[in-house]
Amino acid sequence: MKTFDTLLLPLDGSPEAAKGVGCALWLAEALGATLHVLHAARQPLAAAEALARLHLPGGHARVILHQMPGQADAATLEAVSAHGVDLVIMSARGASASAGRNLEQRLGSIAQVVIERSPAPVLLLPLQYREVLPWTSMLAAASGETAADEALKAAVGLAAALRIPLTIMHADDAAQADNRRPLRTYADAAYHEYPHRMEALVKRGLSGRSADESGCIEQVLLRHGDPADILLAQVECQGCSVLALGWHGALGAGRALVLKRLLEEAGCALLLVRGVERQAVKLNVGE
Amino acid sequence: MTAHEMLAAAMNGRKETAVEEGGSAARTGALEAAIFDMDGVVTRTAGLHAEAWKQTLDDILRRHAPDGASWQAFDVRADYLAYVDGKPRRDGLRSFLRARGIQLGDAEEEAAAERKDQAFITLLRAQGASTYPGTLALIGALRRRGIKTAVVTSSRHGRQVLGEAGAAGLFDACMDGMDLQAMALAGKPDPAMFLKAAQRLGVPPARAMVVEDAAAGVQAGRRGDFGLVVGVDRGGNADALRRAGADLVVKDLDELDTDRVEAAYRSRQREVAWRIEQEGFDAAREPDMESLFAVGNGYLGVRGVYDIPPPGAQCDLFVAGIYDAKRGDLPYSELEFLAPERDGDPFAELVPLPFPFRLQASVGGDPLDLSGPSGRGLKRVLDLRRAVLHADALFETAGGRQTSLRTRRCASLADPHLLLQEAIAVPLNHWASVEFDAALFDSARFAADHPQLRLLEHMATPELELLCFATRASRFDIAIASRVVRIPGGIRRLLSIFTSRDAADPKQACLAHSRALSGADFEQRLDEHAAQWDRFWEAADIQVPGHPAVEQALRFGSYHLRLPAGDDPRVSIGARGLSGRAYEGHVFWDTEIFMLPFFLHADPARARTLLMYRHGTLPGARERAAATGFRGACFAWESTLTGRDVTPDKVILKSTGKEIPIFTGRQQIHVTADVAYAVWRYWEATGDDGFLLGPGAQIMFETARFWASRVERDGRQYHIRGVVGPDEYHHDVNDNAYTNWMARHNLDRAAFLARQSGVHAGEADEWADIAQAMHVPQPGKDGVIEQFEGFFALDDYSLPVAERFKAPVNRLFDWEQVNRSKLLKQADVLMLPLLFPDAFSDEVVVANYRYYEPLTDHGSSLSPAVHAAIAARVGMRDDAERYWKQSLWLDLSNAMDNSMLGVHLAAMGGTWQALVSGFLGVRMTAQGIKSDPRAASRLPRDWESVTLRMAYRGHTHAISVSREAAKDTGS
Repeated sequence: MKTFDTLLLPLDGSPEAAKGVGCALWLAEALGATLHVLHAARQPLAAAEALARLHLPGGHARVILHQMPGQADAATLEAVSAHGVDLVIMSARGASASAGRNLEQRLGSIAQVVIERSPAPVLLLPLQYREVLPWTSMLAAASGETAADEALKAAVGLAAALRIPLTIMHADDAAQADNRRPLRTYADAAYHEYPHRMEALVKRGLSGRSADESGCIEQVLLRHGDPADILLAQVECQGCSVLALGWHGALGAGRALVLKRLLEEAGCALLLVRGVERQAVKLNVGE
Repeated sequence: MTAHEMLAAAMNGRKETAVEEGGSAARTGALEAAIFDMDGVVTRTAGLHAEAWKQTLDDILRRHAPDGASWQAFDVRADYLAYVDGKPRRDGLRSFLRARGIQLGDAEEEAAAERKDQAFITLLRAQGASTYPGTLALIGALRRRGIKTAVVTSSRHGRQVLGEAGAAGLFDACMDGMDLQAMALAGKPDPAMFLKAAQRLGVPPARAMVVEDAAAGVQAGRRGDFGLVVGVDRGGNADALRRAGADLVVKDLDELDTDRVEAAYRSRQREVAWRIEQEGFDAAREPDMESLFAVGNGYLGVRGVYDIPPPGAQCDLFVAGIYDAKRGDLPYSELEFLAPERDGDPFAELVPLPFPFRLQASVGGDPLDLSGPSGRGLKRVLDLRRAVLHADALFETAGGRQTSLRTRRCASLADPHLLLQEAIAVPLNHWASVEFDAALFDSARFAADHPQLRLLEHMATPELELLCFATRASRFDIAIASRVVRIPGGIRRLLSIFTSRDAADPKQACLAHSRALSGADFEQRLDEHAAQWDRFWEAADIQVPGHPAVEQALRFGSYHLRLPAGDDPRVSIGARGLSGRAYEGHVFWDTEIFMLPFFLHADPARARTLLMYRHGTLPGARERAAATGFRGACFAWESTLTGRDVTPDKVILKSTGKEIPIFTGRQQIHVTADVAYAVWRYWEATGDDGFLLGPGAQIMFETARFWASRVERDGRQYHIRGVVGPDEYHHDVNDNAYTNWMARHNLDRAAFLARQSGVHAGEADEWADIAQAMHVPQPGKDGVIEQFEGFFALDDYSLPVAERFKAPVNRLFDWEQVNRSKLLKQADVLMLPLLFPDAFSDEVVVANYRYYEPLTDHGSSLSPAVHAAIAARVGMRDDAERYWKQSLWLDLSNAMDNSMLGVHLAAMGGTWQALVSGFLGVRMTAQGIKSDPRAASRLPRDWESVTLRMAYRGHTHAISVSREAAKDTGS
């Protein structure tokens, strides 16, 4: 089973990017993982100098510093595959955001490329992120889509490894005309269908996770209303440390309304998992 | 344009054509176009290409050979066919090099492709292109018949080659590699090029054939849904072409003439209507597919989970009657909905049993897993005629080793305790062996997935595995034996299943059954099974010439109705049969009102079995009546083994603490009269006096006694108060038209039967009196019947169009508001003209349809078919066709978005009923069974005719309605 042994923290020397340092060090400690710190810079600096410049306290045995020439986004993606990274930790805004080249001020251009293209989940610290360590609980949004299943799988793995409770929430938004979501159905019988659907929703995300790991799931909830509202409210009321979310992976092209709201308003870390491309199924029936 | 847009464009093209040609040619469904691959079919350039590839690739192989090591040259036959033939240059190049473990950069790849091109042109100029005379002869013959022709090739030099060969004038359309690039079409096996060619010819793919010599091209033809795909085997490729889906494989096209082509095309059309085919794999859609592809034989049902179950699959085997207490607890958490545990009723829920077809397979230690890194594709085919599920999956493991795994399975209809499974692996490009593990039992999985089961015994030898377990609360013992036989390339498995409900010692029965099986009988057992299905289809098949898609969907419905219908009168058919977990295997009015008519006329013996189940639950129904202070028997709204009602009275939402009351269990008492109605209909349809005078009479009398005590007298009239009618959005209603009408029928028929049999004379008078004085809401001045007392005074509810066919989940949460509104979940008053067609004039039927139809959100899958039947009867053809199609394809289109939890059997039965009693207006009279004289004019617009057989009073009657015949007789 995929664990979280190898973490990556890309830094650019800006104070915004350095927001991720505390969380990354804590996670590496708590997970017993190796933390690769990546500094993409034209001129490599002496190690001590680099650490200072990156706002990184020294003396951590499991921290490996890489200084790579080239574009920060490309370097980050390269490092993800080169080191077999299981989780990327980064602030939503680094120097690129400060420079004003960002998507409506919420997300730096580097962070955008990384969340759109990284094969590994990304722990993104949004604009309003308030650091509270250690983490106490996690929330995962289930939607029945493949990306959400993947996010749930990652969330269960991480919550189990950290021994923190996980809440799974399905938001059913009656106002939206998207009819592929699992609970959008005939109100046939609450007791005949919905429990099975909720169960299936959770089970798909648990595939490949052991029963022990699944033990971290504390509750499964159903709420009605705008998904972003509901998720933010739950984070607030439960004081969640991290919110896991699956998404389609094209922020500019796609709508990703929920993610955009969360980037703007969430005060906790976001565990983002991109959907893998789905093979279409075709049933040769009908006229 | 993307391939997807192309497809959409091609589909649009198809529509236009259909409109243009709405005449007789399109209706008879003849072949209209033929699309030919060029190289190897029309022209003989494969040798030139292979030689050009060899020059290019050998050079690359030489350069990439490890220092001094030897390298294996490109084989112009084997390698060319396996990797390069029929594909665009770059794809062919990549797939060959990948197999040899070589990866080139983009620029290198481009340069290599360019070198191959140059080599080809040099060879073409030097040697010229020749053609196949057989192909040219066939093209000529087709064109003389008015069949359009096109040529399609991945080759960039297509036009040049055709020109060199002098064949360019033979085609109405020509597309080559340059077009492919210019339009950014994906290469074969993507069907984009063929679809584009069909679009250019103005012919829908279903009316065109594809002729190909490469497996990738055959696959493209298949994926594009072409009407016929012909493979031309120029040597040693026949198997690959067949495997890729060719309908016909010939050595040369001189074997074919236009008659043979058209015969093959028509036969293919007929075959398609007997198969349900799925292509591709998507973990998120798997749960739906598992329901659609279920197999069963009345005794048991197994979901269509792939033989190597992907994680998250709902691997359920259900045995009819194996219920246990409801288990809300799951290993990882408590879920959102707290349904009470039904007072620990030991028969509250149909139990999911361990999946009997589970296999594991690996190649060189790498597991084959569709959802894992090795999964490359899946095709499932449900052969409806023989009731055999086939799957063909492709895997690719380390080193690019490709393995095809072909499996088939069935639940024997000849022997209900027998399941058959076969799995054959074919290594496509390697010699590594494929390892199978057919172990049924895994202790961790058993513990995690089956909280209701307790393991009794597990024993495994190389040939035989035995698994015995028991349900915890209901204490049924179940034994499954698996006998595995090795065959070349794979295994066959013969499974035996017995329970303590059908054998005193299920383990011994199971072992004895298993011992009598041998691998050598496998095909014979399969044939015996198929022979039973043949008999079923003889009675149940419906033909709609020229409409294979409709026939296919009707057969799919009949197939699924047959799966849970067994010979055991102690069980009946649950709402989702044995295909999924929804409704927990509970039996509703669905069975008697929606499914039974199908069995009455297709399989009357099973109709009797279904009614015997109700007879068997009379003791429970009596207890239920007594417990609520009434006499006689009141059947359970949700029934399992004992007739005790297993409907919960509320559900609690944990997140909000909100309580949702469930009124149906206590108030939806019409089910009692529905059962009596079904008894009467059975007798009318079969003339089975033995049943009516015996078990039937007991049901009629006991239910009449219930109504006699349940009615309330008010002055001269009798009322039924505090009920829920078929429309479950309203509870605690008085004088529901449907309930009162059905109760009156129940009382009236019981009185008649008692008097005829000379029994219960006093009671018979009482029943007749109550029936006479029952308040049954009548049509008002406008013809509309009030659904229940006070319905007309409810709040108006403006039902947004979007909600008309897709009731949102909040219906459930706003139940109080909904109860006060004129909003219907499903047909209620409209049920009456369906069940009593002669009791209402067409004017009254129209008035009620016009009034209630716009107020209905079809929150139940039972609703569309009823609306179709009523609209068809009164000639509202648009509505009738729309509702009928919705119902016909309800599961196949996943219209309810919940087919993952099992197929909707009542909708399937309702679809059948809407066709037979709605469109065809079939009526039973003393003289026999006949369709309505106006039936031909009511047929769906583009139908020419429909034919079916119906059993009626011991005889089989052919019903045939045809527009032509109607014209001939002047009716």
